[in-house]
Order: sequence, then structure tokens, then C-alpha cells
Amino acid sequence: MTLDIQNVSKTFSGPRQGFFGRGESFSALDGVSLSIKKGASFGLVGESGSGKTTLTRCVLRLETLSAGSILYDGADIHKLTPLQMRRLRSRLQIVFQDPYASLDPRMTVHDIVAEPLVIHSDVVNLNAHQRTERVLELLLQVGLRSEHLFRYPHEFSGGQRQRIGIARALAVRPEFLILDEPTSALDVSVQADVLNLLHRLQQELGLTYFFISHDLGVIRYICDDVAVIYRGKLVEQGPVADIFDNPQSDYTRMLLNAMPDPDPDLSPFRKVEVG
Amino acid sequence: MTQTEQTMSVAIPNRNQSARLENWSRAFYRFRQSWLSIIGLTIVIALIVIAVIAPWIVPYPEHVVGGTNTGAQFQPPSANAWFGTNALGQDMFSLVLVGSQVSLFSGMAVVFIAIVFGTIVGAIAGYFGGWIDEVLMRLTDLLLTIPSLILAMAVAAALGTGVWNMIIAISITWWPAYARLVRGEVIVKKEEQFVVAAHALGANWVRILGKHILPNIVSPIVIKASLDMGFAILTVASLGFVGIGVKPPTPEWGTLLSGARSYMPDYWWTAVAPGTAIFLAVLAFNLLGDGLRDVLDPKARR
Amino acid sequence: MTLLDIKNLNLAMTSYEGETQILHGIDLKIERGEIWGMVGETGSGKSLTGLSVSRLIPSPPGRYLAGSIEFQGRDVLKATDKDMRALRGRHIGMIFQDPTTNLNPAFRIGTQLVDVALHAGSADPSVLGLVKGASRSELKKAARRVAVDMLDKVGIPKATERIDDYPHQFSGGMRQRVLIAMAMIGKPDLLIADEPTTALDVSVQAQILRLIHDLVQERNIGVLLITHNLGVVAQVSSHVAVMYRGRILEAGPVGDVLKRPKNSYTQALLNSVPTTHTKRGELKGLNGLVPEVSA
Repeated sequence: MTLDIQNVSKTFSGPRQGFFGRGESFSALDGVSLSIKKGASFGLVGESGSGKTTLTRCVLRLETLSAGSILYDGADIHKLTPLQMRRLRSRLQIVFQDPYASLDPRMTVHDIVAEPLVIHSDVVNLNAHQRTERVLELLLQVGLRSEHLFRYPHEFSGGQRQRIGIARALAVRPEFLILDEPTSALDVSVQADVLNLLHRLQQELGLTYFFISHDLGVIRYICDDVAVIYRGKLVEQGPVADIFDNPQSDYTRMLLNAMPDPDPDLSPFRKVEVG
Repeated sequence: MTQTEQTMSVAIPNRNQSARLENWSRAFYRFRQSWLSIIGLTIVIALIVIAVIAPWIVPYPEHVVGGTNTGAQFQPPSANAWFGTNALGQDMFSLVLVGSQVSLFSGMAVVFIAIVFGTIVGAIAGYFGGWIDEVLMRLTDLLLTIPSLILAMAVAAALGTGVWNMIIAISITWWPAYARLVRGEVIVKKEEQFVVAAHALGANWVRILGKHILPNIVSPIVIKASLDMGFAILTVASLGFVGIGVKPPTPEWGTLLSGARSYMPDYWWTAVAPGTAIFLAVLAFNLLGDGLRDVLDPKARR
Repeated sequence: MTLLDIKNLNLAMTSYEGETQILHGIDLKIERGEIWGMVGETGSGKSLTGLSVSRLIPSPPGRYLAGSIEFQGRDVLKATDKDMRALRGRHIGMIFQDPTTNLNPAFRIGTQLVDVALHAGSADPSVLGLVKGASRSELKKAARRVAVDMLDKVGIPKATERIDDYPHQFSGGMRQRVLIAMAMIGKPDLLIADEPTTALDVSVQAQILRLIHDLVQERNIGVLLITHNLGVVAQVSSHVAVMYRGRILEAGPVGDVLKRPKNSYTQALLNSVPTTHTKRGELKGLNGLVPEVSA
């Protein structure tokens, strides 16, 4: 197991009431367990409020756990020293959802993608010129061009910004990539390109993906296994084909039915034309 | 490796300065839209230039270092003395021009020190939160509860006369407002996705604050600073008026105004000259600040 | 009479770069009972077209170079501000994209609904079920009653109690329903919905689409549904217009356009949507395709 989430729970304490009281606490995650093997493409399906964002924050140790543990390669993430944690961050990276918010608007593309190389200079050990070369290599790998090197994020489209985010995540050659709704904010045609890119990169670089999305079509396209999360609990998990063709839980069934298909004949508002 | 060979053959473009330049010219285009802001900017630049070269362009340089000409006292504005003369026969125009040095630069020094100190306190309080935040903010609140002018006077009185003591005194009352502002901005920016991204990349707090958060909160600080500048100059003048800070013969708008008190309204030019200067400076900085806010405020943008 | 007839609409917008033409010769006819899906990607001009119908694009920076937008026979582009204010809310209802920012957080939703209802009712008391010459207090009472009815109709449970709640007390889906209620309360003839379900969960989206569909069935209104989501368009619209860079590439009944597309861009868009049946490697994207645009 590369990533092992064991019985994780996370409760947020409620808002302060009066001087000393606290309102009802909110349980974001309740006994979530899942395992991701090396090289796998694992999907997490959930709607807003399901806890999927909280789970990614827990994996990245941006939140503490109320119960349970998360192990990466056998080591408990939440018990690592700051130095060990920083080392871990070079192996476990994340691509964010919002291409308009995840890049520092005041930094050039070069600096954005080079930043992980600077932060982890003890592991990576490149001088400034070598860093620039590596940045260029990464940009080409994600389908951008050398003239983009010193531009600012606002000069790019959503799809291009997302590619920059992917390049940044790949800079220190991580093994494990968390992708938090990486294509949800993109136009449909751009989404297709980025999905194909992600697929290609996984093959070329041997990455393990933890892919979070609310879009079942996207999950089906890129993942081998999937878990469905609803209100902080995992509702079912298994190979993608099984879950999609033979959903066991009502919630999954409801999700599958609610997905709008671009085929107008399949619309629930229309009767299929006869003949 | 073929990948590296491929990149070797691709030229690395020069660090493109034109993107930065384009940003600036866009910003200036927006700024230009308001003619009031242009007026403000022009006057501010003029004042600063005048303050720098004042000693060399004044018509009566001897008057500004204490020379008197009692025979020519209380002359109304004329071709010889554009703003008239005061009780000692000194040319008001020269005095006001050189007075701008102390007033303007003291005002700027105050704002600068307040920004530096206030930003440090506010950034640390906002970023770390918890008891650090509580302690720092209670200290800030404490200073905010004391009326600034009184506090400045008390500190200046304790430290003694002189420009620098006055500047320190006023700065002590000025920084809390910046600390509050910066703390609020840092708290908001802390949750932005690119900051979370930096955290997830493994950046430590120094890097996150210094490279990601602070550069992105420059706008509100600059806006506040330019609006504040007018009031800082006013505060310097107020202290001068009350007799704290600069001592004659060094001219300063506040002390000039104070000296003219007893001669109103007969020799009105002795008060109107420095008063107009103060008014002009405060107005110009206000207009400039408004213009900058229209340009830099993200809600007004796009 | 055609409900909405957009003829040869050409719009230019001025910015730092100068004036650029955004819409090129848009032609669109919407009749009552039709749901027109206007589909396109970012920059296609679909939102601007929708805003133009209510003349919500301020005149700098926008400038109409040519064309007309006839709503029930009258050209909206030539109408006075007073005429437009009478149309908006009463005859044309608009739903914008983000329900969080489109409701005033400081006021109860009841207040906001009644506000819209009164605006429509003062011009035409029949909207509230009253006759001309009704007094102010009668109008207010009727407006409140209509507001509660409308909330109920859009599926907000316990409408009589919830009408006094604040926007933050509602979930995203509920807020969008409130916005639909606000758009429909003046009994408009035309509903313009700009990405009404983009910010919502898929399950809520299905409910909102059903709501729109039912409203059309009951009241025989016309709907202009602007979205980038082909699935949404396929599900609920009767007709589709595909937009690219300010031009309509093809338009027609939804079955024709989506199942037998004539334009390669439409086909490419359809190829870009992963369904639960798409096999890996099949997704095509645009592949550098630049659609042929007939001059």
C-alpha cells in the first residue's frame, strides 16, 4: 500500500455560543478507510459537503485528525517531524481545482514552477540555470512553450493555468499525485485535453493518482478504482466498472441517474422517439 | 536523455520585461481616467521636487537660516516677496518652500516607519493567530485607545526637541492602524488557494509570508499610505504648532502657522502662506490616494 | 407574435486594447414554449447575448454596431430606460450564475421577493391577482402571498416559515431556487438563465432542470438557457444554438443539432464530454480544430 487511510474521522468544533458554550460540532469525516496501491488511479466521488476536500487536507496534513491514521509507505503522516514532513511533501504533490486561484498572481510562470525546486533544494540540488532548464522541460512536457516561461498567470487561459499547476506539481518528481477536481473549472474541450495529458503523464512517469471529482464521466475515464463518499462516510468502493455498472448503494444509483448525458434521447423529460 | 537534449535545443527566452511594463501601462491608463488623480499626482511630484531643491531656488536663502530684515517686516505680498514678509522681515515664500522639507519628509518618514513596524506586527499576528495574535492585538488596541496627538505630544515632550524625536513620537501612534490593516489582509490571504498550494509544496512560514502573502497585500497598504501622508503632514504641523518638534530658525509649516497666530487678521499672509501649503499637500495626497485606490482596488478592477 | 427575435446582433466592447467586436451577426428566434439552450465555451459571447436581451450591458464599454432585439415586437435596443425597467422583472426574468452573490445577504429573502413582486405589481396589479387602483397595503399583502406561493412552487419546504430566513440559511441549491422564484414572480414571458446550475451539485441540478421544465409546461414561457454544459442542454432544451467566438455556428431542434451535427465544432464538443461509457483514450478534445466560420 502506498497510501493507507485507516478509519479516519474529523470533527470540527461548533461555533462559540455565549461566553463559554459551543454549538453543535460538525463531523466532516466519519470512519473513512481506503487504500491506494502504487501506480493505481484511484477516484473519489462526492458532492459538495461530502468531506472530500477535508480528506485531502488531512492527507496533506493541512488539518489534524480527530481519530484514525493516514500512512504513506508505512509511515504515519501525522506523526512525522517537520523535516520528515517536508521530505514527504516532495514525494506527495497536489494539483488544485481552481486554475485562477492556485497560482500566485505576482509570480512569473518560471518562478511558480521552480518554487518546489527551491524549497526542496537539499533533495533536488540544482543551481539556478539547471532549475530554469528543468522548468522548461516541465512546461514542454505539459504542452506549453518556451515563450510562456516569463509570463504572468493572468495572461493564460484556464486550461493553460491548470497545465502550469500540473507542471509545478511534477517539478520535484513526486510519486503520488492528488488531483482535486483538476478539470471542473475548465471548458469541456479543454477538459478533454487536460485529461488526456494526465493520462499520458501517468503512463510516462509511473505516477499514482488520487483523483477527486464530482463528475462521474471524468472518474470513469481516468480511474481504475473508485470510492463514493457521502456526508463524511464512504458509501461504497471498488473497481470502476463494478461500481458504475452495478451500483450497490442508492446514493451511487442516484448520482448515476442524475448525470446529464449529451444524448437528448436519454433525457428524463422526453419520451424516446418511437421508430 | 532525449528529453534533456530536446530542451537544450529550445532557446530560453530572456526574462521578459515587457510583461511587467504592460502591467504598468495598463495601470496608468486606468489612473489617467480620473483627472483629479492626475492633478493629485502632479501636485505631489511638484511638492517633492520643490522640497528637494528648495534651498537652491529660494529667493532669499539667508532668511531661512535665521537672517532677519526687520526693516522690511510685515510687507504684504508683492513682486519682491510673493507671500509677503513676517514679523522678522523674512520672506514668507522662502520660508514656506524650505519648510516643505521638514514637513513633507517628516510626514513620509512617519508613514514609512509605521508601515514597516505595523506590517511586521500585523503579519505575524495574522499568520500565526492564537495567543500570539491576542497579545499583539491587545498591545495594538492599547495604543489605539490613546488619542494620537496627545500621545505624540507626550512622547515628544519626554524625548526632547528635534525632528527625529518628533518623527519617532508620531510613528508610535501611527503603526497600530497599519498592524490592524495588515493583520486583516493576511488572515484573508492565508486561505487563498495559492498560499495553500505553497504550504502543500513544503514552504515554511517565512517563505509563505514573505514571498506569497506580503507582495499580494501591497495595494491596500499603498492606498492607506498615500491617504495617510496628508494626515501625517498635518500631524507634524500640529505638533509644530504646539511648539513640539522643530525649533526655529528651522522653518516648518506648523511652526510658521503658530508664529502667525498673533498677527491675524491684519497680516493675514503670514498665516495664509503656510496654511495654504499644508492644505495643498494634504489635498494632493488625498487625491493621489483616491486615484491609486481606484486603480489598485481589486473590486474596482476587471 | 415571436417572443424574442434577435436579428443580426453585432456588439463591440471597449477595453484597454481598444474596441473589439464580440458578437457577429447573431440571429435567434424564441417562441413561447421553447427552451433554447445556448451552448458555448468561455469567450463565445453567450453571456453577453443574454445580457443584451435585458439591455444590461452599459453603453460604454459596449456598443451595438448593428442589429435589433425584438421582444414581443418592440426593439429593446431602441427602448428608453423607463421602458426597460418596466420590462425587466415583469416580462423578462433573469437568473444569473452564482446564487451566493446574487442574493443580498443583508435582507431576508422574503423582503427581496416582495420587492420584486411589488415592482411588477405596481405596474400591473394583475400579476398579483388584483385589479387596477388597488391600494398600497393591498399590494403589499398580495405580494407577500404571491411570494410564499412562489417559494412553495419552486420546492422550498415550509415556505411560510422560511420566507423570513436570510440567504445564508439556505444551501446552494435552495438559493438557486429562490433566485428562480425571484425571476418568475413577476410572471415573465421570457426567462433568461445564465449558467443556472453550474455551481450546483449534480443531484440538485437535476431538480432545478425539472423545475424549469415544469414552469415552461405550465406557463408556456420561453426560456433562453445559457450554459457550457452539453448534458444540461441535451436534457432540458427543445432547441440548441452552438456559439463560438461571437457567432452561432449552428442552431435548431436539439435532436438534430446534438445527434446529427452539421458543424465539426459541435461534433468536437460532443466528442469532448466523457460519459460513463467513454473508454479511455477515446476522448478527443478539439485537437487544434478551428471551426469553419461562414463569413
